[in-house]
Amino acid sequence: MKLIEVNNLVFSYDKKINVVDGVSFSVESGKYISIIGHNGSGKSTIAKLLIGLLEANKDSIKAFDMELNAKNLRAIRQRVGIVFQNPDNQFVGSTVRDDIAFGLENRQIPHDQMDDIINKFAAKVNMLDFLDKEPENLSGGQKQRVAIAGILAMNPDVIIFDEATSMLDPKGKREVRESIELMRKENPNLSIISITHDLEEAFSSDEVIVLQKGKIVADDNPENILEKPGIFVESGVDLPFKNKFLNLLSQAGIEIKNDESLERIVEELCR
Amino acid sequence: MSINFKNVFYTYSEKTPFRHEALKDVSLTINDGSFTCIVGHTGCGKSTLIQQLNGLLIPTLGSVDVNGYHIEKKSKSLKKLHDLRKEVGVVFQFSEYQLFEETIEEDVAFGPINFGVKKEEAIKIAHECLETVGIPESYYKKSPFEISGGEKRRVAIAGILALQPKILVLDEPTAGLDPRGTKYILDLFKELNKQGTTIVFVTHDINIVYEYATDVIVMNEGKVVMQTVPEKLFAEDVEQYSLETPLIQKTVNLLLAKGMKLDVSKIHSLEDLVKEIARVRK
Amino acid sequence: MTNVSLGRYVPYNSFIHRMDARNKIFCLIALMVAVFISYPTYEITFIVGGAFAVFVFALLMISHVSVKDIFKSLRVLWFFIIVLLIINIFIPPRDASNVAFAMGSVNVYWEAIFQSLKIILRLVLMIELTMILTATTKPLDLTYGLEWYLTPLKLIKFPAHEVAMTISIALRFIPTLLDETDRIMKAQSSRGVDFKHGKISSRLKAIVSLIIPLFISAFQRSEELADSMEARGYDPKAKRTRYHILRFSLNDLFTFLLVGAIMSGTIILSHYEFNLQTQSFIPWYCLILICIFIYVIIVGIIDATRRKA
Repeated sequence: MKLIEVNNLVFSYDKKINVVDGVSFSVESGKYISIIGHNGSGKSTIAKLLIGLLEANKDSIKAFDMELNAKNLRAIRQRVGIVFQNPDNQFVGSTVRDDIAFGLENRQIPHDQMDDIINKFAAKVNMLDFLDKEPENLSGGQKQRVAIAGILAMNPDVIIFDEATSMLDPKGKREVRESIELMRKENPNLSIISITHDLEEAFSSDEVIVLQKGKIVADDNPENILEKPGIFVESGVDLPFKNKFLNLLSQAGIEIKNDESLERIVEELCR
Repeated sequence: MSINFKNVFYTYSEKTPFRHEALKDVSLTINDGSFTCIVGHTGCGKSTLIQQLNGLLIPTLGSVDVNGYHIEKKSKSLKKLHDLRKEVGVVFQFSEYQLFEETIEEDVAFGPINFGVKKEEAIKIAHECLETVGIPESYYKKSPFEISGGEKRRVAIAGILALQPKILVLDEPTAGLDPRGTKYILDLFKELNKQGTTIVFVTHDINIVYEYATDVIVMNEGKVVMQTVPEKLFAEDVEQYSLETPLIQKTVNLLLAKGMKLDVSKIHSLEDLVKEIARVRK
Repeated sequence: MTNVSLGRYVPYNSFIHRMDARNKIFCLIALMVAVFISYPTYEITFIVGGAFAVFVFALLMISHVSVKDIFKSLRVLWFFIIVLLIINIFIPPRDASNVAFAMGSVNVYWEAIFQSLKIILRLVLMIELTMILTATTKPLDLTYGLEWYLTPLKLIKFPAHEVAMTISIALRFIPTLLDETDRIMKAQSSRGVDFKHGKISSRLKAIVSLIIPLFISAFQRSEELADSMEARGYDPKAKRTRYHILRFSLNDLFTFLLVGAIMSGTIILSHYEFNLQTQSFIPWYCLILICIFIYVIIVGIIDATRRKA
């Protein structure tokens, strides 16, 4: 089922250069889509357009069979959540508890149900022991997990991650990734759009969209994209480690037949 | 002439309930001309450590020697610290937030002017440094607030390079940059290092240590766990220091385990590894 | 890293901590009024002042404010005290007639000294009372309390909710911005800026090099925060439910009446000069007092009915 359909999306901040230039794709229920590309390729702008923080051109975004316009905005936002890059600048409440409650208050969830919901979703991101902590006493990874809990508590169908791990240390990155994996396992119908620089993450998702200067240069499953090295040259995006390794090996005249995993490649090299 | 820490302790907010011991008995040496990486996870004291290098923080106990300057609690002479800051340039995390002047060239010239360089001379130095970091000439008169994030970062770095420091200290200079921006400035630091600048580089990214470092210091909970060369560090299981194993090292380990006789000392990048494999297979 | 421990909320479970924030705000204002009331003679002033000092000190102890923090909070007053003494000595009060001693050609009057002491005592009590409030009340509860008092003003289109939301976010971001200030100062110091010494012109430049980056960063933060709030469905005009609910308990009623009694007591004391025959001001003060009570009760009723609906 198609949850979001984007059709010929165009956006410009200054009415001269199109930051997003004719982008079309769709988000199906339960899919994990990665959007990669350099800074300035229009990735984050697309995220803001999808959630209606920037105004898209008419009839370009359709979500849950509704046009994305001022009238439907509220209804659409109830079903799409977003986690931004900077952990500090999306922590609204003065404690973890208050921050998760913030979205619930906006949703007009009755007071007596809030504590249960907060506890449930704090537990899902492993933050139950930190409910009364202030943001200044939390690490970046913990704050991002609180942001995820706040969004999960609103029970969305689609979650957008806008470079949500790029400001975190390796430990924080790992924690956030584990939380994402867990929530996918618990709710297989949840769709994820992840805007990322992390190639290992991008190429483990269901679908990769490669952006360059506001245009989509490739939109396919990871295997197919990796078979077209032209895409990487054109967009300047790096290859994942394994593929870089394979390319260098074949340049040195070493051909590997079974390139399923790093272990297999090593086995073949040592044969 | 090098950096020497002798039993350095540093405590924040001493004698208050918020007391926090950030450095505990740190002794280390950073050699001239080295590319030293300091690794360890958040809160291990890395950032506190580098602030001792140009006297932003003075050790609570112990002493630090930097290029002939002796920093100790008792001998706190401000005039001397001012001179020290010209020799040790520190680029902080998210350094783009230090930009404030009307034009990019003026912002880069700000540092040298503070150290008594005449304005025209400082602007000249600024132009050179902007060229070094790859900012085109057409930008010099632009406002630093109308350029992209990656460019801002480079202008901020140029602002420190303009002090012409002998030691360059960098706190996570690649955080939040895209892969292309990261590679660009890493290569820049490598080049500066070749020209003789000592680089002290604080990072979470173990791959940077693998590819760029000549020396490495591992920290944990305010203590130096290990001071060594990268080859020795990666010969051990780095996960015991809660660091990740770089993917190249993982591959090397797998190959070694399978009995391939690689000369590890020659491997600093993926290209080196492939060359080694080709050599061994012949 | 930051030494803003002063006046900061200290989590304990004392009687005062448990009080309703709205009631605490009322009590603070009522006690301040009581402290600021003038009495006809200095004797009464100091007797009542002394009694208040003991009372406030007891409250401080109940709220677990450390003695060290009390002294710290008064440190900022030193400068003020000295200025006040000098002014009062050189420009004595009009009724000054009793010379305490002479400093060269200047006569120092007892009245001048008393006058200064009176002002100092009031200031000290005021600061300590405020400190009790901030040390025992979570900033968020405080803003909710303020919002509650401002709700009737919504009738004249006063944005009570927006103001309270703004204050609570400002409170949330104070530590973040302090950290940021520290970082920018260090970054500029590394570029040779000296924030503590130097000529006025270079000091000015130093401040500019701190303020501009701070503003830029604050603007960026607020923009991102606004995006995040909007994306999470926040609309200041829309109806929202409340996670935090302030509760007015029996204890609150008791303190509310007690503090009201203290305030009216001091008012009576100040205008009666222990003489019940003098012209009466009581009706006026009682009227004001009754008005305040009624205001609080009406706002309470409005609040209760709204919550039910």
